[in-house]
Amino acid sequence: MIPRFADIHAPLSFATRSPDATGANDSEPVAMTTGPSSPLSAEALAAIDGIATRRDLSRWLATACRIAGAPHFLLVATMGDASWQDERILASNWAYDLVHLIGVDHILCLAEGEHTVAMGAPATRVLHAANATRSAQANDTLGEYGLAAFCSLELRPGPRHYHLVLAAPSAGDLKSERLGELQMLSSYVLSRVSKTLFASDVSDALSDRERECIHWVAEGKTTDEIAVILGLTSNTVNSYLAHAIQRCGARNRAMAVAAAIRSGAI
Amino acid sequence: MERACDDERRAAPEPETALHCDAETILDAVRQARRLASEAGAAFYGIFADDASQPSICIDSEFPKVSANSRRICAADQPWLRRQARPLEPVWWHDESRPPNNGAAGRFALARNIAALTPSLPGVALPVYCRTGSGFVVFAGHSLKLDDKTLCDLHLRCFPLFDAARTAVELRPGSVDSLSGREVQCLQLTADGRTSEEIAALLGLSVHTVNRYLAASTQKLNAVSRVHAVAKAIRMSLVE
Repeated sequence: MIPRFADIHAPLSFATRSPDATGANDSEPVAMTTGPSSPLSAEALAAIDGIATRRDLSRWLATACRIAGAPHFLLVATMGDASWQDERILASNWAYDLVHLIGVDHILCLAEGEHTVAMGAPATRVLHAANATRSAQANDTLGEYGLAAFCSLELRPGPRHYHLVLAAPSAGDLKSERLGELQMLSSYVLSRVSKTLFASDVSDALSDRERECIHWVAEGKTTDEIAVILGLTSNTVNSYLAHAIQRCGARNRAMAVAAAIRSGAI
Repeated sequence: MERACDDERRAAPEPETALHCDAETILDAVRQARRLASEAGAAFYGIFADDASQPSICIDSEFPKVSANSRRICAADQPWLRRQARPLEPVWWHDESRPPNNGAAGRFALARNIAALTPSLPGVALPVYCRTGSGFVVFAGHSLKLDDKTLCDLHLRCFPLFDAARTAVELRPGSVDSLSGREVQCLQLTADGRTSEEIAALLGLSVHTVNRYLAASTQKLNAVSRVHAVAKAIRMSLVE
């Protein structure tokens, strides 16, 4: 399986902006300068409107994190956001092979451990590479890649929350006075873009009959009741629903209903 | 651990005060709120939690009473007050009875302008999504002193404030907000296509417990089936 973040990773050595991030479609909608005195909020805010793709989001986060002193970041979804563990890493500029060397499970521990900084929490807790994960080997690898200090910020843009893991060559690089601002602004950004960037669109995929059936399932009706309502046989209703579940890319009725409501299909 | 305590607290019998509050923690929440209000230069503050369709007041600046401003906000008919239509971005408004010249609460790059929630008082409202639920915090007053940077800082500190206030004050029993953290979590995972067995494994609970949480949330949402409960919860923005 190929993880989704493969297309947005950047080499570890990037200084200002990775070469692959400047290519293709864009006219630099999320350009920010990174001067030491630049206020995070004003420039970061001005750039929020330009975020339209995952790559834009990734670049925005990379720049904002760099202003806060962290050259490397990982954005992790809370449990349940995706079926596969690998898909929980939504954006990152870690070296692709590093993510695999460490292992996604260890990275998730790094994101969600007790050291996580809650929204508005007074103290910032920094983890050092020596005890970043429970695996000594993984910790050594992080050190070899020049990642020595980590900080995991909780983001609560809505009912679903996320973790933003910052990584820096040394603990002194992380600007603790900027982390709160980074946490809040990143939450604003996710509040704006998470629905469009992280949700699959099923609104056009469903036929009218499938939509009707899903609509009644969402109203709590059973297959037999839907058959009576629509004047069909139960078998036909079940087959419509099976198709609808497939087209939503869902695993069962509950997930299909959730996807259909999120996309506005019903 | 925290969640388990939370569930126990919710299940405890209602205290017999009019306000349904936990006296030890509520004073702490009031102190926190007053400190933030005075730093922002706000004469009025109010912490509101999302209820079935309208916000409910937890604590405001006239604690232990409820001010007329808060009552008006709870009864107001503004789209922004419904949680489905509320992004995380702060909103601000100016005093509608005066011409908007000395925009003390104006010109935020970070916030959107909406129709006044508190007539004759300029103010800001900051949405929050916390472990204990969702809602928003209002600060208003003629001498409100805020810019984008302080607004951002204020917003961040509203998260622990809301958790403190929401834990201390029980809303009306029977409202959908009485879904516990675990129940919401199970519903969210169900909406993500997980089976009870998978949820049990992910949360480290037994399948039976997961099913009990889901049955309880189905009942609280007045739904007839699990799928119906998921649909209702998504439409009410209890889960995503």
